[in-house]
Amino acid sequence: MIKFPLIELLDKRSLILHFSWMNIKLRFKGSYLGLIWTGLEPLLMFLILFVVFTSIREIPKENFGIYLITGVLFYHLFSRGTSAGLGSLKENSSLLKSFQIKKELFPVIATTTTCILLFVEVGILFGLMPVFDFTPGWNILLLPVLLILFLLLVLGMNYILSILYVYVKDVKPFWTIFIYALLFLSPIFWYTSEVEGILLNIQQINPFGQIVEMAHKIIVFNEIPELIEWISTTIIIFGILFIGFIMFKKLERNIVEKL
Amino acid sequence: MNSIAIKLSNVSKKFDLNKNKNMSKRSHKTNKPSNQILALDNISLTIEKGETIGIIGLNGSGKTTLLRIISGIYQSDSGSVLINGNLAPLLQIGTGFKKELDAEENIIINGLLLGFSKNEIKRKIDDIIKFAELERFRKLKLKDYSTGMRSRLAFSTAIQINPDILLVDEILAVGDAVFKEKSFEIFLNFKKQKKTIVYTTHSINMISDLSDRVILMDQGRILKIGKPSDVISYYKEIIKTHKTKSFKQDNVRSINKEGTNYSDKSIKKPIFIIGVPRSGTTMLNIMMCLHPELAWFSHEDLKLLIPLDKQKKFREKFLRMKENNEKIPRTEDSLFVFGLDQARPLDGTSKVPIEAESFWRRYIQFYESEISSNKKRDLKNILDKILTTQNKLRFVNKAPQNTVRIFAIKQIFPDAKFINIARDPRSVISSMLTRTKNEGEFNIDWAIKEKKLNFHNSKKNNELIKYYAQGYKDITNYTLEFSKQQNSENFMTIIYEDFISNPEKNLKKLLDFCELKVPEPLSQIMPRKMRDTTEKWKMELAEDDQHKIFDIVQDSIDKMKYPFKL
Repeated sequence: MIKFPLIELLDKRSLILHFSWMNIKLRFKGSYLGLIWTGLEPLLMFLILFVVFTSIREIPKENFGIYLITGVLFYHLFSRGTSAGLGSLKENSSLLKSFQIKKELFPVIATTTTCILLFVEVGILFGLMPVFDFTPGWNILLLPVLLILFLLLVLGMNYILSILYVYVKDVKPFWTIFIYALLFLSPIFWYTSEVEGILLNIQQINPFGQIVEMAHKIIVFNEIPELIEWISTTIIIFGILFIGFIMFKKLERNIVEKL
Repeated sequence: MNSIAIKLSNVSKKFDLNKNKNMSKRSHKTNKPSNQILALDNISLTIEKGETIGIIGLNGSGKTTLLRIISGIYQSDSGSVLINGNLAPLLQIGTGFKKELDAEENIIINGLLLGFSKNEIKRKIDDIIKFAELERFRKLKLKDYSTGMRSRLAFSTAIQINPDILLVDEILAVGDAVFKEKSFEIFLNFKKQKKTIVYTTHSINMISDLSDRVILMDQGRILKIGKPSDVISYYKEIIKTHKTKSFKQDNVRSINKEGTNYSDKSIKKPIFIIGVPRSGTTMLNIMMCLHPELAWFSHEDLKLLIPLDKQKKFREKFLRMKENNEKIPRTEDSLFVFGLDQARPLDGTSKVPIEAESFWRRYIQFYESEISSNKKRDLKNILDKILTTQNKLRFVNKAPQNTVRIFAIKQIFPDAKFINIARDPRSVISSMLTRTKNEGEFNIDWAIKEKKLNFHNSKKNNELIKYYAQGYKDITNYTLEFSKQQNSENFMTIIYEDFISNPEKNLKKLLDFCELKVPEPLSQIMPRKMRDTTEKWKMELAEDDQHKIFDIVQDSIDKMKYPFKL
């Protein structure tokens, strides 16, 4: 019997949190700046994009800085979170070979790690607002709902990617390219009102792009996204989560031998 | 039920051999779906609470896989695993640790994964590190630990967690003497507390000192289970035969390197040595096995030669007769049944039914699990694998049971070559009557004492001689009938007495028949020891005592109007 995702893992929460925190510590262990890198990474990425885009074209709209940093932060979290999720089973193969553990723990841990980073990056967002002389409106209170949807998307992707990577090694280079493409295919430095044709078509079915678009509305434009947007995004994300979870459960049986 | 700690029922586990692409280089030649290895083959096992079980076996015999199945790390393909109590696995040194973290952090991780809360573990950290004698290294990263230090840490963590069942895989082999001593005490303590320990080791001393029972594994099967002393002596035998076998194969391989290039990897003209038991089939087989062009394999695999429906029919019939306590007649069918058994059809009156029964039980289990899992093993695939691993095109096989299933063999391998070795029935029966436990020797004094034979009073022995003679007749008739349908290209009869009077000449004739090159020098496949033995046998034939038995046997055979001319 396949139980609903996550419920089984409730009693493992101290393990999950410990591992998530350990992952963050481990990633920058040995570097001089240590944990500061968690914030520095997206900031530097933002700076590069900001400098490049403001110098090759006029600032298209008001608050472009906040618009860009919002997109970049989500992008950074998504790319970090999913690539950690992708390798989560393989990198922990020694643990999987030594203990009887629920394999599902590892993509979940990769997601909770993303969750911790998310708190840091939301902090950065609010920290930068005064720098750009920006005051958010009340609609920003909807942000937590959006963040939960975002984490569920990451979790769904992590289920899919982690288990596929055990079977097919090509998943990794493919996903690297895909993430790279996502930077251009999502409304991070462009506005949906500016584009048409294929880019717009992709945006309509791209759940990550939808989340970024909704985040822009909530944070930058102080708008409430339309109900249809909420519904369609939620359906797509839960679809991915559901497919990912089922796929994981179907394929997890003999993976320890394959690792 | 409550006294059981671990219960496995019919557990099997297969592994894909070409799980990664690098290995396909080797397997592309065969291009068959047989790239699976049966790591565990229908294991059933019950371990009581408080038992200490040692598992021994050569590398690759399935020890680690068994522990991983018990610990739940691997899932079995079929069968069920039942565990009663919490369990700490100590498998493979160094896995289960994060190399980038220090000892303390690793203990926490291990503890969490074993199902403990963070606070509980934190309280135990000091004890764990102290027991492992790693106080000075507690802040050192695991990547800088030696293998011994890592295994000490793993062992300490696992025992501090105080499990009901402890699984240990080879982990104590690397600790130093002091630590070994300490672990030993811990083991004994565990035993006192009625905790269950299952461990694998190559240390025979340890196994005999510690274990209540020992399991000997070979090729994914439990070969023997029982008291340490019994199993260990059996194990030592296996090591001995394994050594000679691999020595043989190394020799063969080195010969084979020169000039043999096979393009077509399918079985060609397999050779089957048949004959009444005690006719010299083993002797021939040993020589043929040493031929560089021939692969060798265990006769066990040939069980699969018999079509499944026929097996079922025989099985049902056999079981029905057993149930009704009927005497099993020596008809063709019953010969078939007995032939399946490892006991020989001719070999003693009491031994056959007992062994046949136990054999059938295993046999039935094996096939039922195969049928139910819908993965019937294909004999040709098995043979292909054997031939590929030994890099051969042809194989030779000798099994007592082959003689009574030659028709089936012929059906499966139409181009098979049969070497039928015939021996004077007087010699065969004498050999049956007087052979000692140590096969190949016969000792009349021993036989008189142990088998209570009395050669001075032929009446007493008549019944036994008749029984053996009837068997000889049945099998020979069967072979004769078969031989009538064959031609000189695939069926050859050699006379034992002839053969040992001039082994060199006869062996050459035999190789010719088999279309095999005569190795230079011939002694390659004719070991010195073998020549000595044939000399000995020749001499024995001439001894007086032997003639005495011959006369008695002759007497009995005449009385029952034995149809064969000697």
